[in-house]
Order: sequence, then C-alpha cells, then structure tokens
Amino acid sequence: MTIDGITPGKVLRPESIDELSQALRAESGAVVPLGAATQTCFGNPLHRADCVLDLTGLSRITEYNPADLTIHVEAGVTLGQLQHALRENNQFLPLDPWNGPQATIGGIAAANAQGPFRAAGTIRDWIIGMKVVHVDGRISKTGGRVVKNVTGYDLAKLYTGSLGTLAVVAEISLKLRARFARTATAIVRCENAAAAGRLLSAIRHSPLSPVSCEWVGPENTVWLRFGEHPSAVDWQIRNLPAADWKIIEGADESAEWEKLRRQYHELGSVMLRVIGLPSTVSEIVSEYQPHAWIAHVMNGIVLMSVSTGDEIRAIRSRYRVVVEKAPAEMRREAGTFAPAPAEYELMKKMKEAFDPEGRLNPGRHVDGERRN
Amino acid sequence: MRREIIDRLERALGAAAVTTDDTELLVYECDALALFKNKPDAVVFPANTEQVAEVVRIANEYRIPFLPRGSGTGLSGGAMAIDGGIIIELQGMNRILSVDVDNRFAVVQPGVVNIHISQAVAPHGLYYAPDPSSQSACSIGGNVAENAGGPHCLKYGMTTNHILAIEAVLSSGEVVRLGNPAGEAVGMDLLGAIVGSEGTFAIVTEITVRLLPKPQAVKTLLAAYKSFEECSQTVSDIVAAGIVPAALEFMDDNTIVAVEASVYRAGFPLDARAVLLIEVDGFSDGLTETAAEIIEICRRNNAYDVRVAKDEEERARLWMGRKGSFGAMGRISPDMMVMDAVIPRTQLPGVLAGIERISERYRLKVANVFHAGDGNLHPLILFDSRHQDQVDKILIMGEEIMRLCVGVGGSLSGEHGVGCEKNDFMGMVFTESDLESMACVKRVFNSSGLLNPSKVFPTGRGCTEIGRPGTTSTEEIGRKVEKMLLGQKQ
Amino acid sequence: MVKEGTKHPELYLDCVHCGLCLPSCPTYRVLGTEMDSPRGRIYLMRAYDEGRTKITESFVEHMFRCLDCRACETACPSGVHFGEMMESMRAEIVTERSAHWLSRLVLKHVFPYPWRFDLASRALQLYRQSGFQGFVRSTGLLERLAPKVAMAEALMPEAEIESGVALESFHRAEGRKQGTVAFFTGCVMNSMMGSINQASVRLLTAAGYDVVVPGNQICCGALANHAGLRDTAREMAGKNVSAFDAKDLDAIIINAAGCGAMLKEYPVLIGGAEGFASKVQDISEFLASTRIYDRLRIPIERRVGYDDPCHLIHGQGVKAQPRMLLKSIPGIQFVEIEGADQCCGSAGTYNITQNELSMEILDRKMISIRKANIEILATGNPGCMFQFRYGARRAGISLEVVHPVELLARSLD
Repeated sequence: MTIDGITPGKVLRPESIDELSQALRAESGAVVPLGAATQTCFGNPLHRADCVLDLTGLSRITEYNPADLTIHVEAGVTLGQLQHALRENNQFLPLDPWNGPQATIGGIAAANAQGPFRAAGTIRDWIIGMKVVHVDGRISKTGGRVVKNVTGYDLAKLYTGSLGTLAVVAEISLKLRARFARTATAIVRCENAAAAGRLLSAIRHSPLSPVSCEWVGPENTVWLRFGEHPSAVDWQIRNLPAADWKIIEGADESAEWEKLRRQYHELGSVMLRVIGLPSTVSEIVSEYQPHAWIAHVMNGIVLMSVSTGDEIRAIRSRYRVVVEKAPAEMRREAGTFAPAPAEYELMKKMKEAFDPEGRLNPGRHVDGERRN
Repeated sequence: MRREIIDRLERALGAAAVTTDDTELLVYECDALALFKNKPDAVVFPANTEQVAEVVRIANEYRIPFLPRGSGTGLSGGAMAIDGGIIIELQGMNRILSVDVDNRFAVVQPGVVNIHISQAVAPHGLYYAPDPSSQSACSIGGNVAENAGGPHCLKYGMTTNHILAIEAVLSSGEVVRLGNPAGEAVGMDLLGAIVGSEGTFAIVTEITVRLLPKPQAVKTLLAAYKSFEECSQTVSDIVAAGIVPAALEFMDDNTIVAVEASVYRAGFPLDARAVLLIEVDGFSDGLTETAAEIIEICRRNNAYDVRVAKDEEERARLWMGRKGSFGAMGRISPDMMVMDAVIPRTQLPGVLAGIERISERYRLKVANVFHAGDGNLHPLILFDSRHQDQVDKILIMGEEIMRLCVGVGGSLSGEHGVGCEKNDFMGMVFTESDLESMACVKRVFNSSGLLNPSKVFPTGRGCTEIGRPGTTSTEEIGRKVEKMLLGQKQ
Repeated sequence: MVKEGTKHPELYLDCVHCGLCLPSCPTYRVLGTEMDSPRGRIYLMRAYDEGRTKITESFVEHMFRCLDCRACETACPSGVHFGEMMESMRAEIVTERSAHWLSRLVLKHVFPYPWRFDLASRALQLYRQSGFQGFVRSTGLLERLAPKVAMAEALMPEAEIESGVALESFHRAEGRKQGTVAFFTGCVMNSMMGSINQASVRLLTAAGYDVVVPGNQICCGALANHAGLRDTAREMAGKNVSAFDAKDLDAIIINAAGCGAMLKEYPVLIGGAEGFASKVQDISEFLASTRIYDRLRIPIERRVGYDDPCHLIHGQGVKAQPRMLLKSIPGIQFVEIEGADQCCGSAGTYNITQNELSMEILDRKMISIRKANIEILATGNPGCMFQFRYGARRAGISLEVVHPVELLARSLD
C-alpha cells in the first residue's frame, strides 16, 4: 500500500477502541488513520507515514435505539452497513457521499465527505457525539447520546473535516430520520449551458424544494430529486417548470444516481470544489469553462475539472476553492484549503494544541498548507 | 476599576459609551438567571468591531476579565461577570447589514433581536428558523454563543445549522472572519466550534445567517390529556410513525394555569393534566393527511380533546402562550428556576414520574413545559427567594433532577448552556480527559484566558453569590438541606 | 396593590427577569442600556427596597427617563404592574429627594434651548391646571423661567386655542335615546383643543346618548402622578369621583388616552373609586359598540393612518375599536402604520424633560409615518397630537394630525 507515494512502515488493525488507544500509546512515529481508503488523494500530501492504523476492524454498531432515532457506531462501520441496519426500521442517515456505501463513517466524518443529497446538510449536521483517541492514546468524548445537546464545547465540529489530523475518530453517535415515504427524480437535458442556467434559475425561484439539485456538464443535464410525503412529491413533479422531464422512481431511480456517482469519479484527475452562491453558479461555469462539472445548484457549489495549477490560482482569486482531487505535486503546490491568514493561524494553533509533535497524518491538513 | 483604565476605555469609545456608575452596574450583575449575580467593574457599549477589539486589547493590557452581553435573556449565567471586569454590551450593534434574498442569507450585527430578522425578511417570503422562546427579545449574538434552540429545532436544527459565517474578536483582540455565505465548511470547522462556545472562545461581531423560505402550509394542533403517560406515548408514536413534526411541545397543568392567568392566555384547557402542541409544515399537498394521522395517534392515546388551529391568528396565540410560559410563572410563583436537560425521548414517562417524586419530597412545585419531540426537558422549579430555605433547597433539588436525567443517558443542557449554572455538574457527563480536550480548544481561541472566565468548566466554588447575600458554599447548603430533609422525616 | 409606605415587593416579585419586555421599551430601543429597560428599572427598584442601592442621581435619571408608556405591560408574560410600580417609585423619589432634581433637569434640558420654550410654555398651561403649580413654585423654578416663558407664550399660535364644551352643560340625544353618559372634559382638551370635545359630544348625541358635563370636575391628575406627586394626584382623584354620579350613568366618557388610563386606575390611589372607574370608557371604546356607524355617511377620501396612544393600547388595552371606527368612514383608505403600538416619545412632559431622547424616538416614528405615505394621522391623546405635529414639521412632512373623533364627526351626516 502506498499513499501519496509513501509506503508506510507498518499497518496495525485494532479491533476495539482500547486496542486503538494502546496502539497510539505505543507508537512514536507518524500515524495515518485509514478507513476504507476511498479518498486517500483528498487533502494535502502526507509528509511521513510510519504506521497506518487500519480502522476497518472497529466495525461494530454499538447501540441502535430506533425509538430515539439515534445510533452509535464505531468508526470503521461502513455507510452501507449502517443504512442496511437502519432499513428494517424504515430509518436512514440522509447522506450519499460520492465515495459510496463502502466508505466508513469515520472516514466520511474525517473528510466531511458529501454527495448530491444536500438538503439535509452534511454528516456534520447529523453527528451528536464522538469518541476520539488522541495521539498519546488518551480517549476523550464530546457531545452525547441525545439528539439535542449543548453540554460542553462541540468538538465534533472540529474533528469533522479535520482529516484525522487532530485526533483519531473512534466512535460516532448519529441522529437519524425516517425514510421518505416516497422519492422521485426528474432529469432533463438542456440544449446548452445558458438554457440550463435559465431552467435552474426558474427552479430556484419556485416553491420546489428538491433534496438534490444537480447540474451536470458538459452535457447540461439537470437532476432533481424530491423526497417527502407522497402527495408533496407528486405536487412538486406536477409543478416542475416546463421542460422535457424524464421522471424516474424506485429501482431505476437508485440506478440512475449510482450512474451519476460513477460519473463524478470520472470527472477528471484534477477536480475543484468552487464555493460560490446559488446565483453565481452559472457565472462560474461560463467564466471558467471547465471540461466537466457537477454543480450543487441550491448550495452554490461547483465541482469542476480543470487541468493546471494556474487555473486553480485564477479561480482562487475570486472564489473559495477546495481541491477535491489532484496529483500529489499539484496539491502540495496549491494547498487543499488555502485558508485565509487569520484562519490559517488558528488552525495551526489547533493542530499544535492537539498534536504538538505533528505525528497525526503529518502534512494532510493545515501543516501541509502554505501560509498565504 | 482604576481611573487610568476608565480613561483608556473612554478615549477609545467616548465617555457616553462607558459606565462605572454603581447604580448602573447593578442592573448588569446578572442575566435572566437572576439567582446568580456579580457586579462588573465597568460596562462598555461599543458601536463597531474595531471598538470591541480595542476594548479587548485594553483589557488584555491590564489583565482584566471581559465578556460579551446581548439582551441578557440567557438562562445559564453566560453573560454574568462572575470574576468582575468589563461587560461588553453589544446591544448598540443592532443593524441588519444586508439581506440577499436570492441566495437566502442575511448579514447582521450581534445585537439584532432574533425575531427582527424574520420580520425584516418576511416580505420576501423568508424567515430565520431557530426560534428560542425568548426570540422576541434575545439577540442573535447570544443565540450564536449559546447555540440556541427552540421548538422548531426539532425539524430545522439548532442555531449552529443556520450560521453561515461570522466575524469575531478573539481574546487577544485579533479579528477573524470564518465561514462563507454558502455555508460550506472548509476543512477544520472553526466556525462550528465557536457556535455554542458560550462566549468563551470569541466575541462574535457580525453574523451571516441562513434564511429559509416560509413553508407553503402549516398546521398546528393542540391535544389535551388526562395523564402524562398518554401524552408521552403520543410523542413516541408520532416519531415511530416516521412523521417529522416541525415542533412537538409538552405543557403540564401548572404551566397551563400560569399561561392562562397571563396576557398570553391562549385557551389551553384548564382541566388537562397536560397538552401537546404539535405543528407540521411543508407542502399543502400531503399536510392534511399527515395532520389526520397525528390526530388519529392522539386519539388512540386517549387525548380527550384535539383541535386544529383554524387560522394564523389562533396559531400565533397558541405559540405566544407556549413561548410566554417561562415568564408567566410569575403569575403563580414569586421566583422560578428554569432547568434544562435532555433525555432520550423514550425515557419521558419514567423521568417525568421521577421529577414528580422529587418535587413532592422537597415540597416545591415543578412546572413542566418542554420540547417533547427531542426530549429536551424544562422543569421549572417554583419557589420564593424571600425564604432562604427554599433557595437552598432548589439547588440541591436541581442537581437531583439533573442526576435523574443523566442517569437515563441524558445530558445537562439542550439549549440553555452550562455557563456558571451547571459547570460544577460537568463531571456527571464528562471525564477529566473529555474536559481536557475541551480546555485544549479553549486555550487556542481564548489564549489570554480573560474572555468570560470561570464558565463551562467546573470551578468547585459555585457561583460568587447565590440568591441573597449571606449564603456561602454549595457544600454548606447541601448539609443544611440534608438536615432539613432528615428533620422532615422524623 | 401598593402598600402604604411606598414599599412594593408584591409588585416586583411578579418579575421573573426574563427580559421579554426589553424590545417593547422605547427608551431601551433607542439607548440599548439595561438600566433604561423595564427589567432594569424594576431591578433597581427592587435593589432599592432591599437596601442595595440608594436614590442616587443616576437612579433618579433612569426612573424619570421612563416614558411610562406601559408597552412593557403588554409584553410581560408575568403581568407585572409596571406603571403602578413606577408611579409609586417616583412618588418615593419626590418625597426622599424633595424637588431639586426636577429643577436641575429642567434647567439642564430646557433653559439653554430657546426653541424648547415653545413646548415648555404649552406644558406650563398644563402645570397651572394639573396641580404642579404649587410644586413648581416651591422649587423656585418658575421665577427663573418666567421671563422667557412669558415670551414663548406670547409666540404661541392663537389658532390652537379653541373653546371647548361648557362645564355644567347638558346635550340631548338625537333620535331615540339609548342612555345617558357623562363627559370628562380634560384640561388640555377643553382649553387648547376644544373642537375635539365638541366633536366628541356631537358623536355621543348622534349615537343616541344624553350627555351630561358635570361642573365640579377638575384635571385627572395623571401628570402629577407620573411625576411622583402622589398626594396631589390623590386629592384630584377624590374631587373627580365625587363630581360624577357614577351609578346613574351608562358610562363616563373621556377622549384623552392619558386621562382615561388615569381615571380607570383611581382605585389604586384612593378607596371607594371602584364604581367610578368601572364606568370610565375611552370615547372610541364606547362608540364602537353604538349605532354610530349608521350616521357616518359623508365620505372622506384620504389616506389615513392611526397611531396607538400608549395609554390607550397598553394602559387600557384598547386597540381594535378606534381602527374599526375609522375604517367604517366611507371612502377612507386606512393604512396600518408600522410600529403603531410604539410610543411617540411625547409622554406628558417627557418631550421637555428628556428632550434628546424624546426627539430620537419621534424621529424613528416619523420614518414609519413617511413610509406609510398618509395624509392624515389620527391619534387619541393631546400630548401625542402635539408631538406628531411637531414631528411632522421637524421631518418636513405635510401631515394633518387629528383626533379620531374629528374625522368621525366630519363624516357625520
């Protein structure tokens, strides 16, 4: 196994949180926590990797309380495993990150991984508690096991998205919701980007409230997904702006979104997440003319494929950009997150406070960013 | 406070924006948790971020504690100057700076009153979703500090889910901007950590909030019951049926009596043991069916009266009644202690019975009004602060109720925060190690330690002054109450 | 109820310190300071009662900065009787500190500004009839102000002085008689805005009521009471109660909101006033339930707004009736003004004693008025009418300010 061209000295596979804690206590080199390895090229390139902590052994659902709409899982539980367990009670975690059902919950949290289902936020909004193991083996928790809680600081927010550079996520408590009584998807192919832009503007200014609203290019298809009470779904389908919509439901619907997920992985070897506003999505696409893109229109986000580091710099001069995927050298050069100076300083201090020796995923997050 | 420091503050803000007058400081000795008080040494009224930063820099120079304050409606003492120092009152910064209707966000100053945001954007069919009961008075800055909740958090999430970006002054006086109007977290979520940090990480000076389109339709139901158990079972059954209500609120008989005696009387049935206020919203299509399903669940659980608000006016009245209920306690009791705890919602029946037993044992009435849908309890202990024995009792009683909730897998606070009210209870839910991780983060944001000290973390000393002058430590109160209870048994 | 001896624990114990009153308070909205909020003032009163503060200069300042508009009572879930508490606190301040503070306040805020004498002189007319006279004299204030006041008085427009309704008069019902009411003339109304009283009596008789105007009535005492002159106020209340033979009347009608609130609260001041107080009704409150609607036939095709006098909406809970009456005038375009339930900053003598603050509150009010784009503003209290006329001049808005009864009377066939 190599990550960013580095072959780790050893791989440990703890099977409990205590074992994970012991492993960290014993280790003195650079530690790389890893789940299903679905997104190893996200984040800045690793500086070192002495020991990989394979967390797939932490794969227990420790407690599931359907009546309370909460579940507590170890970090190595996969999204597929979780959704399967929830299905029998007609519940689900309303997320569909691009890295798919084989991704682990710990990994999804570490990267705050996202997909087209955007209406319910990201995993950040569904985590109610977390247990982490610190670089010295110390175990600590944040949050709790109830759906609403402001007791103590919400450190889960910090751990989520910090790419395993502050602490190793060991257990996650999640709140859940009931499955939609019905979903339906409407897809239409537009003549060109301008036509798609007009259609999307009409959708944004209508009462429709799709759970996903994707603009896929260069083919200019618009994907809408609705999930609600069946009558509400019907109403929304009936009230779509006039276009040649294809309506799909049931097994076809899942298959179609699975196709889009595959398409995401083929967008290109350099992919950016450009953060604009719903009203500027069209502008972003027309200005930078990406080879291919998927835009979360309701959120003002465009995932786009580009070719060069110069392009990244040009877009960054106007928009906040996260490098979703790129060869190691380009990531090192551009920096994944490019935080503003004050933000950079805070992140750096946070990293130093949790991991003074810089041994957790060294280089992955702020310690691999250039200071702007 | 030394004249030299006052001079510095006055030069920075203007003399009118600084007070050290004893009488004026008096009203700043507590927030809505009036049980705990301590007078600040000065209160300043900055007009902009730069002035806030300047006050912070001066405080740093002289090593004086400082803390932000909004409307002072907080219920955990978050805006109380427990170690004295400077209160930075942000009421003067109360402008809505901009509204982006198309992209559904607003940029506001921290002193803006929660409901004023919704009022300002209502003509565009938008609103700001988090609706703490104090929303007609509480400031958005305070909401951010406490990660405020409210009835509609059940469906729409807490404050943290609606804050897109902030500008904040750190304890060093440095100004940072975090987040973006798209609300997209980028890497380590510093903004997410600041929301709910109870004014101990940063002073938030500008806030970008998410606006939501008003739902097409709303239905509000009121169901009356003769028992707590049937009421609680209804809550569980609604959740089990896969319905996601916008709000699901519980009010007991004591609460109903108080509200009906107040200006917020809403027509809650006085003969009920408890009522549920249930709201569903969304597309008109399907909503009638959902409401019918809920009515059926209520009836199955022996609700003896179920009615649907017939118009917006009746709906507003029911909600005013619910939201005015804490304040309405003044109609039936001279003082009250608002508690805030969360339990897994399936534990409702047992915990309510437990609270009732505790109430009987201490001979102090408890009114229950709370967010049943997410298990966020608000037992209100009614007492009279002119009787020192009652003041002594409520603290111990409160602790007992907390232990009961934590014992069933619950937590200390669902929306009011820990502040200096429950910091000594933190050990009930967190280990030393958990607290160390929190302290680690606090040291990063609040490197000087001067920003709102002695909050959230256990201090072991209780609050500076509890109730009336003359009371001392919690241990002493504990002993007194123990003796009292023993005496009652004999 | 307030105990003798000015301690008022029962009243402030109603306050649970929740803060819901804050945004309803005009001074808090402008100043953003807790000590100028209802909650803060109650806190100070309680602290004083508990011996934690003395009546300091800033204490006095914050107590007298209150407009006594009672918007907080409407917002208070706990039913705190703020007005009662404030008045008894002020009475205590006046007793404790004698009157030197007022002299200082007026000197500080009025003396240096000649234009304020325009307002001050009008207020002086009030002083004469409201029981202030003796008090003001005792402070030595009048002597210091008198020369300039005399000048200001001379400058006052004659047109505003209109004769009102004669005391000791009787006005017969038109058509079939529905009952008998007594009319409380009020001092300002009758002397400075007499046409409003005439309009009121016309409307009452048109609605089918005999109107008696008892001769022994005097000023209601509200201004004295707000300023803390409790004994003066009590004396005036006693005289008025005995001037009206309440039991033979269907109602005692008053058209000034401030006076109405005061009359309704006489039982708080003196014993034996319950019968009297229970008959008191604001003219809009009374007319709304009569057959007057049939008589409103002459159209008024104008854009008309209505502003709630604090002592009507908060003090007496009368909100719907004046709107209902105005809307029933044929041809009228009724416009709801944003924040109509918020104080205009007039508050008796407040625009003189707390001029800056009063003007700031007024300016905010005028912004909503400008937004509403109205030609006529109706409001049922003389102080508010003065304030709005001044506000319109100040803001350069052409606006006719009337009492609702004036419009109603214009529409009478």
